[in-house]
Amino acid sequence: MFNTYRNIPKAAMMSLMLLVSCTKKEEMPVLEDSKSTVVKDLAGDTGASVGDGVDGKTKRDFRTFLFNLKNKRQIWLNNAADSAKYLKTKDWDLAFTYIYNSIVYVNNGEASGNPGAGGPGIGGITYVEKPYSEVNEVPQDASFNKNQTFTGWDGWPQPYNFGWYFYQMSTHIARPIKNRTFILKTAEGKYAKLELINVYQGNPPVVTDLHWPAPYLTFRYFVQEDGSTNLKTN
Amino acid sequence: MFGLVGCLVLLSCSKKDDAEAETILPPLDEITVTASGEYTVNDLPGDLTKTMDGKDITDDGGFNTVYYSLEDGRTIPKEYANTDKWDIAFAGVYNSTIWANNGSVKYESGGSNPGYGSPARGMFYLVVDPEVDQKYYNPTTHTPVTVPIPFEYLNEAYNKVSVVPVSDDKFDFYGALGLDHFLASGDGYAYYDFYGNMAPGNPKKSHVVYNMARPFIIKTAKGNYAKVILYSFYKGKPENPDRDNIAPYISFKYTILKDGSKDFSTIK
Repeated sequence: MFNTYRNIPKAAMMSLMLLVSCTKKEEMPVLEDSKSTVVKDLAGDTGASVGDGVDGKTKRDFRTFLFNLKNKRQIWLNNAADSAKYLKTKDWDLAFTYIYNSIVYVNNGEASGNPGAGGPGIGGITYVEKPYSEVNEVPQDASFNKNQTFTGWDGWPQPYNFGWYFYQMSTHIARPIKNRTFILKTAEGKYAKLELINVYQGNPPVVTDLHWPAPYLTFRYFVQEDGSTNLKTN
Repeated sequence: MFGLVGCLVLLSCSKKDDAEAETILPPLDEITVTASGEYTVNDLPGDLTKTMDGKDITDDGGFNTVYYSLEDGRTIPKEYANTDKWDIAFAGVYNSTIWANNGSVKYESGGSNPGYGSPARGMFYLVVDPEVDQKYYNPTTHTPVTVPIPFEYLNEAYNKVSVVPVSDDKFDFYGALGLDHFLASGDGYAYYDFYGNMAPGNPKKSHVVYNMARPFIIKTAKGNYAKVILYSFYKGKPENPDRDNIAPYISFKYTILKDGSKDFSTIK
Protein backbone atom coordinates (compact mmCIF):
# COMPACT_ATOMS: atom_id res chain seq x y z
CA MET A 1 0.00 0.00 0.00
CA PHE A 2 1.00 3.61 -0.37
CA ASN A 3 3.44 2.50 -2.99
CA THR A 4 2.72 5.54 -5.06
CA TYR A 5 5.06 7.43 -2.82
CA ARG A 6 7.67 5.14 -4.19
CA ASN A 7 6.34 5.54 -7.69
CA ILE A 8 6.20 9.29 -7.75
CA PRO A 9 9.85 10.01 -7.04
CA LYS A 10 10.94 7.17 -9.27
CA ALA A 11 8.74 8.38 -12.05
CA ALA A 12 9.93 11.88 -11.43
CA MET A 13 13.51 10.84 -11.75
CA MET A 14 12.90 8.70 -14.78
CA SER A 15 11.24 11.68 -16.31
CA LEU A 16 14.04 13.94 -15.26
CA MET A 17 16.21 11.83 -17.46
CA LEU A 18 14.01 12.78 -20.37
CA LEU A 19 13.77 16.36 -19.45
CA VAL A 20 16.10 17.94 -21.85
CA SER A 21 14.66 16.72 -25.09
CA CYS A 22 12.90 20.03 -25.58
CA THR A 23 16.20 21.87 -25.60
CA LYS A 24 17.57 19.69 -28.35
CA LYS A 25 17.90 22.40 -30.94
CA GLU A 26 19.22 25.01 -28.58
CA GLU A 27 22.85 25.84 -28.09
CA MET A 28 24.38 24.68 -24.84
CA PRO A 29 24.71 27.88 -22.87
CA VAL A 30 28.10 28.89 -21.60
CA LEU A 31 27.98 28.66 -17.84
CA GLU A 32 31.20 30.46 -17.03
CA ASP A 33 31.42 34.20 -16.47
CA SER A 34 34.08 36.32 -14.84
CA LYS A 35 32.92 35.89 -11.26
CA SER A 36 30.76 32.82 -10.79
CA THR A 37 31.79 29.40 -9.58
CA VAL A 38 30.64 26.63 -11.88
CA VAL A 39 30.41 23.13 -10.41
CA LYS A 40 30.12 20.36 -12.96
CA ASP A 41 29.17 16.75 -12.32
CA LEU A 42 29.60 16.80 -8.58
CA ALA A 43 28.87 13.18 -7.67
CA GLY A 44 26.02 12.70 -5.24
CA ASP A 45 25.09 9.38 -3.68
CA THR A 46 25.43 7.22 -6.77
CA GLY A 47 25.06 4.02 -4.76
CA ALA A 48 21.42 4.54 -3.82
CA SER A 49 18.26 4.02 -5.80
CA VAL A 50 14.55 4.41 -5.14
CA GLY A 51 13.69 1.05 -6.67
CA ASP A 52 14.91 -2.54 -6.70
CA GLY A 53 17.03 -4.18 -9.33
CA VAL A 54 19.27 -1.35 -10.43
CA ASP A 55 22.76 -2.67 -11.15
CA GLY A 56 25.35 -1.56 -8.65
CA LYS A 57 22.84 0.36 -6.56
CA THR A 58 21.03 -0.37 -3.34
CA LYS A 59 17.46 0.60 -2.62
CA ARG A 60 17.94 2.85 0.37
CA ASP A 61 17.87 6.44 1.52
CA PHE A 62 20.15 8.76 -0.38
CA ARG A 63 22.98 9.98 1.81
CA THR A 64 23.07 13.70 2.30
CA PHE A 65 26.08 15.78 1.41
CA LEU A 66 26.82 19.33 2.45
CA PHE A 67 28.50 21.97 0.37
CA ASN A 68 30.48 25.02 1.38
CA LEU A 69 30.12 27.72 -1.26
CA LYS A 70 33.21 29.67 -0.32
CA ASN A 71 35.77 26.88 -0.34
CA LYS A 72 33.81 24.54 -2.66
CA ARG A 73 34.10 21.77 -0.15
CA GLN A 74 31.78 18.75 -0.31
CA ILE A 75 31.15 17.18 3.09
CA TRP A 76 29.51 13.75 3.28
CA LEU A 77 27.23 12.69 6.09
CA ASN A 78 27.88 8.97 6.15
CA ASN A 79 26.92 8.33 9.73
CA ALA A 80 25.61 9.86 12.92
CA ALA A 81 29.07 11.06 13.89
CA ASP A 82 29.38 13.07 10.68
CA SER A 83 25.96 14.58 11.26
CA ALA A 84 26.86 15.50 14.82
CA LYS A 85 30.12 17.04 13.68
CA TYR A 86 28.87 19.20 10.83
CA LEU A 87 25.13 19.86 10.78
CA LYS A 88 24.94 22.45 13.51
CA THR A 89 27.84 24.51 12.20
CA LYS A 90 28.38 27.22 9.64
CA ASP A 91 30.77 24.95 7.72
CA TRP A 92 28.15 24.41 5.05
CA ASP A 93 25.78 26.53 2.99
CA LEU A 94 23.84 23.93 1.02
CA ALA A 95 22.66 20.41 1.87
CA PHE A 96 21.81 18.09 -1.02
CA THR A 97 19.23 15.65 0.31
CA TYR A 98 16.67 12.95 -0.46
CA ILE A 99 16.01 11.44 -3.89
CA TYR A 100 19.02 11.86 -6.15
CA ASN A 101 20.26 14.57 -3.79
CA SER A 102 17.87 16.82 -5.67
CA ILE A 103 16.23 18.60 -2.72
CA VAL A 104 18.60 21.38 -1.75
CA TYR A 105 18.48 23.13 1.61
CA VAL A 106 20.14 26.29 2.85
CA ASN A 107 21.57 26.28 6.38
CA ASN A 108 19.07 27.75 8.83
CA GLY A 109 19.15 26.96 12.51
CA GLU A 110 15.72 28.37 13.25
CA ALA A 111 13.72 26.59 10.57
CA SER A 112 11.90 23.44 11.62
CA GLY A 113 12.94 20.50 9.50
CA ASN A 114 16.08 22.17 8.21
CA PRO A 115 19.18 19.93 8.44
CA GLY A 116 20.88 22.73 10.39
CA ALA A 117 17.99 23.21 12.85
CA GLY A 118 19.33 24.16 16.23
CA GLY A 119 22.60 25.38 14.77
CA PRO A 120 23.98 28.87 14.07
CA GLY A 121 23.18 29.07 10.33
CA ILE A 122 21.16 32.07 9.18
CA GLY A 123 20.70 30.97 5.58
CA GLY A 124 17.66 31.68 3.44
CA ILE A 125 16.35 31.06 -0.05
CA THR A 126 13.95 32.75 -2.42
CA TYR A 127 13.86 33.04 -6.18
CA VAL A 128 13.35 35.34 -9.14
CA GLU A 129 12.02 34.42 -12.56
CA LYS A 130 15.05 35.75 -14.38
CA PRO A 131 18.07 34.23 -16.13
CA TYR A 132 21.08 33.87 -13.87
CA SER A 133 23.20 36.30 -15.90
CA GLU A 134 20.57 39.03 -15.59
CA VAL A 135 20.28 38.90 -11.82
CA ASN A 136 22.41 41.86 -10.75
CA GLU A 137 21.01 42.61 -7.33
CA VAL A 138 19.03 41.11 -4.48
CA PRO A 139 15.48 42.34 -5.16
CA GLN A 140 14.31 44.92 -2.65
CA ASP A 141 11.20 42.91 -1.88
CA ALA A 142 13.07 39.63 -1.44
CA SER A 143 11.86 37.83 1.64
CA PHE A 144 13.51 34.79 3.11
CA ASN A 145 10.69 32.81 4.63
CA LYS A 146 11.63 30.27 7.29
CA ASN A 147 8.69 28.14 6.17
CA GLN A 148 10.68 27.14 3.10
CA THR A 149 14.43 26.73 3.35
CA PHE A 150 14.85 24.28 0.47
CA THR A 151 14.13 23.91 -3.20
CA GLY A 152 13.40 20.70 -5.06
CA TRP A 153 10.41 19.42 -6.91
CA ASP A 154 8.19 22.41 -7.72
CA GLY A 155 4.89 22.31 -5.82
CA TRP A 156 6.04 19.65 -3.35
CA PRO A 157 5.36 18.97 -0.51
CA GLN A 158 3.03 21.96 -0.47
CA PRO A 159 1.36 23.32 -3.60
CA TYR A 160 2.99 26.69 -2.98
CA ASN A 161 6.58 25.45 -2.56
CA PHE A 162 8.93 26.75 -5.24
CA GLY A 163 11.28 24.23 -6.86
CA TRP A 164 14.01 23.95 -9.42
CA TYR A 165 12.32 21.29 -11.48
CA PHE A 166 8.73 20.61 -12.51
CA TYR A 167 7.04 17.31 -12.23
CA GLN A 168 3.70 17.03 -13.99
CA MET A 169 1.33 14.30 -12.85
CA SER A 170 -0.52 14.29 -16.14
CA THR A 171 2.45 13.78 -18.42
CA HIS A 172 5.00 12.35 -15.96
CA ILE A 173 7.55 14.72 -17.35
CA ALA A 174 9.89 16.56 -15.05
CA ARG A 175 12.03 19.35 -16.32
CA PRO A 176 14.25 21.98 -14.78
CA ILE A 177 12.69 25.39 -14.58
CA LYS A 178 14.43 27.68 -17.00
CA ASN A 179 15.34 31.21 -16.12
CA ARG A 180 14.65 30.73 -12.44
CA THR A 181 17.47 31.96 -10.24
CA PHE A 182 17.66 31.41 -6.52
CA ILE A 183 18.63 34.23 -4.22
CA LEU A 184 20.41 32.88 -1.17
CA LYS A 185 21.68 33.91 2.16
CA THR A 186 24.66 31.78 3.07
CA ALA A 187 25.12 30.23 6.49
CA GLU A 188 26.92 33.44 7.46
CA GLY A 189 24.21 35.65 6.03
CA LYS A 190 26.02 36.79 2.86
CA TYR A 191 23.89 37.24 -0.23
CA ALA A 192 24.40 34.91 -3.18
CA LYS A 193 22.71 33.73 -6.34
CA LEU A 194 22.43 30.12 -7.45
CA GLU A 195 21.31 28.27 -10.54
CA LEU A 196 20.65 24.53 -10.25
CA ILE A 197 21.14 23.09 -13.69
CA ASN A 198 21.14 19.30 -13.86
CA VAL A 199 21.45 16.03 -11.95
CA TYR A 200 22.71 13.97 -14.90
CA GLN A 201 26.32 13.29 -15.68
CA GLY A 202 27.68 15.61 -18.34
CA ASN A 203 24.73 18.01 -18.12
CA PRO A 204 23.41 16.46 -21.31
CA PRO A 205 20.95 18.33 -23.51
CA VAL A 206 19.14 15.08 -24.29
CA VAL A 207 18.84 11.97 -22.15
CA THR A 208 16.97 8.92 -23.37
CA ASP A 209 18.74 6.18 -21.43
CA LEU A 210 16.94 5.54 -18.15
CA HIS A 211 20.21 4.42 -16.62
CA TRP A 212 22.07 7.57 -17.45
CA PRO A 213 24.45 8.12 -14.55
CA ALA A 214 22.94 10.17 -11.72
CA PRO A 215 23.10 12.05 -9.47
CA TYR A 216 25.91 14.19 -10.83
CA LEU A 217 25.05 17.75 -10.03
CA THR A 218 25.80 20.76 -12.17
CA PHE A 219 25.17 24.20 -10.73
CA ARG A 220 26.69 27.65 -10.59
CA TYR A 221 26.69 30.39 -8.02
CA PHE A 222 28.14 33.66 -6.88
CA VAL A 223 28.57 34.82 -3.28
CA GLN A 224 28.85 38.54 -2.60
CA GLU A 225 31.50 38.52 0.10
CA ASP A 226 31.42 42.28 0.80
CA GLY A 227 28.02 42.06 2.49
CA SER A 228 26.25 44.10 -0.15
CA THR A 229 23.33 43.06 -2.33
CA ASN A 230 25.29 43.34 -5.57
CA LEU A 231 25.09 40.08 -7.51
CA LYS A 232 26.37 41.24 -10.87
CA THR A 233 28.63 38.65 -12.49
CA ASN A 234 29.31 39.94 -15.96
CA MET B 1 -35.93 41.09 -34.35
CA PHE B 2 -32.51 39.57 -33.95
CA GLY B 3 -32.14 41.28 -30.60
CA LEU B 4 -35.36 39.80 -29.36
CA VAL B 5 -34.43 36.33 -30.48
CA GLY B 6 -31.09 36.73 -28.73
CA CYS B 7 -32.83 37.69 -25.52
CA LEU B 8 -35.10 34.72 -25.64
CA VAL B 9 -32.20 32.39 -26.23
CA LEU B 10 -30.28 33.90 -23.36
CA LEU B 11 -33.25 33.63 -21.03
CA SER B 12 -33.94 30.06 -21.84
CA CYS B 13 -30.29 29.18 -21.44
CA SER B 14 -29.90 30.67 -18.00
CA LYS B 15 -33.15 29.18 -16.88
CA LYS B 16 -32.05 25.76 -17.92
CA ASP B 17 -28.69 26.17 -16.17
CA ASP B 18 -30.38 27.13 -12.92
CA ALA B 19 -32.64 24.14 -13.06
CA GLU B 20 -29.70 21.87 -13.73
CA ALA B 21 -27.67 23.36 -10.94
CA GLU B 22 -30.46 22.65 -8.50
CA THR B 23 -31.07 19.12 -9.55
CA ILE B 24 -27.42 18.17 -9.85
CA LEU B 25 -26.63 18.36 -6.11
CA PRO B 26 -27.12 14.95 -4.56
CA PRO B 27 -28.98 14.58 -1.27
CA LEU B 28 -26.95 14.66 1.92
CA ASP B 29 -26.77 11.80 4.41
CA GLU B 30 -28.51 12.03 7.75
CA ILE B 31 -26.85 14.24 10.34
CA THR B 32 -25.40 12.04 13.09
CA VAL B 33 -23.77 14.70 15.28
CA THR B 34 -25.85 17.45 16.82
CA ALA B 35 -24.00 18.34 20.01
CA SER B 36 -20.49 18.98 21.28
CA GLY B 37 -18.78 15.73 22.21
CA GLU B 38 -16.38 12.98 21.27
CA TYR B 39 -17.07 10.90 18.18
CA THR B 40 -15.35 7.96 16.53
CA VAL B 41 -15.25 7.24 12.82
CA ASN B 42 -13.94 3.83 11.81
CA ASP B 43 -13.08 2.66 8.30
CA LEU B 44 -14.34 5.73 6.48
CA PRO B 45 -13.78 4.61 2.89
CA GLY B 46 -11.36 6.65 0.86
CA ASP B 47 -11.50 6.37 -2.89
CA LEU B 48 -11.71 2.58 -3.10
CA THR B 49 -12.12 2.62 -6.86
CA LYS B 50 -8.44 3.43 -7.15
CA THR B 51 -5.44 1.34 -6.30
CA MET B 52 -1.81 1.38 -7.22
CA ASP B 53 -1.65 -2.40 -7.45
CA GLY B 54 -0.58 -3.63 -10.83
CA LYS B 55 -0.49 -0.16 -12.28
CA ASP B 56 2.27 1.25 -14.34
CA ILE B 57 4.95 2.93 -12.33
CA THR B 58 4.12 6.29 -13.83
CA ASP B 59 0.48 6.16 -12.74
CA ASP B 60 -0.52 8.75 -10.15
CA GLY B 61 -3.61 6.86 -9.04
CA GLY B 62 -6.02 9.77 -9.47
CA PHE B 63 -7.65 9.32 -6.08
CA ASN B 64 -10.83 11.32 -5.56
CA THR B 65 -10.99 13.59 -2.53
CA VAL B 66 -13.20 12.55 0.38
CA TYR B 67 -15.02 15.33 2.25
CA TYR B 68 -16.28 14.97 5.81
CA SER B 69 -18.34 17.15 8.10
CA LEU B 70 -17.09 17.01 11.67
CA GLU B 71 -19.96 19.31 12.66
CA ASP B 72 -22.64 16.97 11.30
CA GLY B 73 -20.87 13.61 11.39
CA ARG B 74 -21.35 12.62 7.76
CA THR B 75 -19.47 12.33 4.50
CA ILE B 76 -20.25 15.06 2.02
CA PRO B 77 -20.52 14.44 -1.73
CA LYS B 78 -17.88 16.10 -3.89
CA GLU B 79 -20.54 18.30 -5.51
CA TYR B 80 -20.50 20.27 -2.25
CA ALA B 81 -16.75 20.89 -2.35
CA ASN B 82 -17.11 24.65 -2.72
CA THR B 83 -19.60 25.02 0.13
CA ASP B 84 -19.29 25.21 3.90
CA LYS B 85 -20.86 21.76 4.34
CA TRP B 86 -17.54 20.03 5.05
CA ASP B 87 -14.72 20.57 7.53
CA ILE B 88 -11.97 18.10 6.63
CA ALA B 89 -10.91 16.65 3.30
CA PHE B 90 -8.69 13.66 2.56
CA ALA B 91 -6.96 14.07 -0.79
CA GLY B 92 -4.14 12.73 -2.89
CA VAL B 93 -2.51 9.32 -2.94
CA TYR B 94 -4.49 6.95 -0.72
CA ASN B 95 -6.36 10.02 0.54
CA SER B 96 -3.48 10.78 2.89
CA THR B 97 -3.24 14.57 2.49
CA ILE B 98 -5.46 16.48 4.90
CA TRP B 99 -7.10 19.83 4.24
CA ALA B 100 -9.29 22.14 6.26
CA ASN B 101 -11.99 23.92 4.24
CA ASN B 102 -10.74 27.35 3.26
CA GLY B 103 -12.45 29.06 0.36
CA SER B 104 -9.89 31.84 0.08
CA VAL B 105 -6.83 29.81 -0.88
CA LYS B 106 -5.69 29.68 -4.47
CA TYR B 107 -2.06 29.29 -5.53
CA GLU B 108 -0.03 31.01 -8.22
CA SER B 109 0.61 27.57 -9.69
CA GLY B 110 -3.12 27.24 -10.36
CA GLY B 111 -3.88 24.75 -7.60
CA SER B 112 -6.14 25.59 -4.71
CA ASN B 113 -7.67 24.45 -1.46
CA PRO B 114 -10.33 21.83 -2.27
CA GLY B 115 -12.89 24.25 -0.83
CA TYR B 116 -11.81 27.19 -2.95
CA GLY B 117 -14.76 29.53 -3.44
CA SER B 118 -16.59 28.39 -0.32
CA PRO B 119 -17.42 30.89 2.42
CA ALA B 120 -15.47 28.72 4.90
CA ARG B 121 -12.24 29.98 6.46
CA GLY B 122 -11.09 26.78 8.09
CA MET B 123 -7.53 25.91 9.08
CA PHE B 124 -5.50 23.34 10.99
CA TYR B 125 -2.82 23.12 13.65
CA LEU B 126 -0.69 20.03 14.25
CA VAL B 127 0.04 19.36 17.90
CA VAL B 128 3.58 18.07 18.52
CA ASP B 129 3.97 17.00 22.13
CA PRO B 130 7.66 16.33 22.84
CA GLU B 131 6.84 14.43 26.03
CA VAL B 132 4.76 11.89 24.15
CA ASP B 133 6.97 11.93 21.06
CA GLN B 134 10.04 10.93 23.04
CA LYS B 135 8.42 7.61 23.88
CA TYR B 136 8.63 6.40 20.28
CA TYR B 137 10.38 8.99 18.11
CA ASN B 138 13.85 10.35 17.48
CA PRO B 139 13.47 14.08 16.78
CA THR B 140 16.98 14.33 15.36
CA THR B 141 16.59 11.71 12.65
CA HIS B 142 12.82 12.20 12.36
CA THR B 143 12.17 8.49 12.55
CA PRO B 144 10.39 6.26 15.06
CA VAL B 145 12.62 4.35 17.43
CA THR B 146 10.45 1.29 16.89
CA VAL B 147 7.27 0.48 15.03
CA PRO B 148 4.40 -0.01 15.37
CA ILE B 149 3.55 3.09 17.36
CA PRO B 150 1.07 1.95 20.02
CA PHE B 151 -2.41 3.51 19.83
CA GLU B 152 -1.96 4.08 23.57
CA TYR B 153 0.47 6.89 22.73
CA LEU B 154 -1.92 8.36 20.16
CA ASN B 155 -4.66 8.42 22.80
CA GLU B 156 -2.34 9.92 25.37
CA ALA B 157 -1.37 12.80 23.09
CA TYR B 158 -4.99 13.33 22.14
CA ASN B 159 -6.20 13.33 25.72
CA LYS B 160 -3.52 15.81 26.72
CA VAL B 161 -4.97 18.42 24.38
CA SER B 162 -7.27 20.00 26.94
CA VAL B 163 -7.60 23.35 25.19
CA VAL B 164 -6.88 24.71 21.74
CA PRO B 165 -3.19 25.32 22.42
CA VAL B 166 -2.54 28.32 20.17
CA SER B 167 -4.27 31.35 18.73
CA ASP B 168 -5.65 31.33 15.18
CA ASP B 169 -2.61 33.10 13.76
CA LYS B 170 -0.52 30.03 14.57
CA PHE B 171 -2.84 27.80 12.54
CA ASP B 172 -2.09 26.88 8.93
CA PHE B 173 -4.79 28.05 6.58
CA TYR B 174 -2.67 28.02 3.43
CA GLY B 175 -1.33 24.51 3.06
CA ALA B 176 -2.19 20.90 3.74
CA LEU B 177 -1.20 18.43 6.45
CA GLY B 178 0.80 15.44 5.33
CA LEU B 179 3.41 12.85 6.16
CA ASP B 180 6.16 13.55 8.66
CA HIS B 181 9.51 14.66 7.19
CA PHE B 182 9.04 12.87 3.90
CA LEU B 183 10.93 14.45 1.00
CA ALA B 184 11.30 17.80 2.70
CA SER B 185 7.86 17.89 4.27
CA GLY B 186 8.03 19.22 7.81
CA ASP B 187 6.26 17.88 10.86
CA GLY B 188 3.43 15.57 9.92
CA TYR B 189 0.87 13.22 11.42
CA ALA B 190 2.29 9.89 10.19
CA TYR B 191 5.59 8.21 9.48
CA TYR B 192 5.95 6.73 6.03
CA ASP B 193 8.51 3.94 5.92
CA PHE B 194 9.45 4.26 2.27
CA TYR B 195 12.37 1.82 2.29
CA GLY B 196 11.14 -0.54 4.99
CA ASN B 197 13.97 0.68 7.19
CA MET B 198 12.08 -0.22 10.36
CA ALA B 199 11.85 -3.91 9.46
CA PRO B 200 14.84 -4.87 7.32
CA GLY B 201 14.36 -7.97 5.21
CA ASN B 202 10.57 -7.93 5.38
CA PRO B 203 9.26 -6.71 2.01
CA LYS B 204 5.74 -6.41 3.41
CA LYS B 205 7.00 -3.67 5.68
CA SER B 206 8.18 -1.22 3.06
CA HIS B 207 5.84 1.55 1.93
CA VAL B 208 3.83 1.28 5.14
CA VAL B 209 2.33 4.27 6.94
CA TYR B 210 2.38 4.39 10.74
CA ASN B 211 0.18 7.01 12.34
CA MET B 212 1.95 9.04 15.00
CA ALA B 213 0.83 10.46 18.33
CA ARG B 214 0.17 13.78 16.65
CA PRO B 215 -3.35 15.11 17.10
CA PHE B 216 -4.43 18.18 15.18
CA ILE B 217 -6.95 20.93 15.63
CA ILE B 218 -9.36 21.72 12.83
CA LYS B 219 -11.14 25.03 12.72
CA THR B 220 -14.39 24.04 11.06
CA ALA B 221 -16.26 25.74 8.24
CA LYS B 222 -18.54 27.28 10.84
CA GLY B 223 -15.57 28.57 12.86
CA ASN B 224 -15.75 26.02 15.67
CA TYR B 225 -12.83 23.94 16.94
CA ALA B 226 -12.35 20.20 16.85
CA LYS B 227 -9.40 18.07 17.92
CA VAL B 228 -8.72 15.02 15.81
CA ILE B 229 -6.48 11.96 16.13
CA LEU B 230 -5.99 9.82 13.05
CA TYR B 231 -5.34 6.15 13.83
CA SER B 232 -5.05 4.39 10.53
CA PHE B 233 -5.48 4.41 6.78
CA TYR B 234 -5.96 0.65 6.62
CA LYS B 235 -9.14 -1.41 6.77
CA GLY B 236 -9.86 -2.71 10.24
CA LYS B 237 -7.61 -0.11 11.92
CA PRO B 238 -4.64 -2.46 12.42
CA GLU B 239 -2.18 -1.27 15.04
CA ASN B 240 0.70 -2.95 13.20
CA PRO B 241 -0.04 -2.62 9.49
CA ASP B 242 1.81 -4.19 6.59
CA ARG B 243 1.31 -4.19 2.86
CA ASP B 244 -1.35 -6.90 3.05
CA ASN B 245 -3.68 -4.41 4.73
CA ILE B 246 -6.12 -2.63 2.46
CA ALA B 247 -6.09 1.15 2.03
CA PRO B 248 -7.57 3.68 2.13
CA TYR B 249 -9.97 3.21 5.02
CA ILE B 250 -9.63 6.13 7.39
CA SER B 251 -10.16 5.68 11.14
CA PHE B 252 -10.13 8.63 13.50
CA LYS B 253 -11.58 10.08 16.67
CA TYR B 254 -12.49 13.69 17.29
CA THR B 255 -13.96 16.04 19.85
CA ILE B 256 -15.97 18.95 18.55
CA LEU B 257 -16.97 22.07 20.46
CA LYS B 258 -20.04 23.45 18.75
CA ASP B 259 -20.21 26.71 20.64
CA GLY B 260 -16.90 28.26 19.57
CA SER B 261 -15.29 27.27 22.86
CA LYS B 262 -11.62 26.24 22.99
CA ASP B 263 -11.89 24.14 26.15
CA PHE B 264 -11.97 20.42 25.43
CA SER B 265 -11.91 19.55 29.14
CA THR B 266 -15.61 20.37 29.32
CA ILE B 267 -16.35 17.21 27.32
CA LYS B 268 -16.79 13.95 29.28
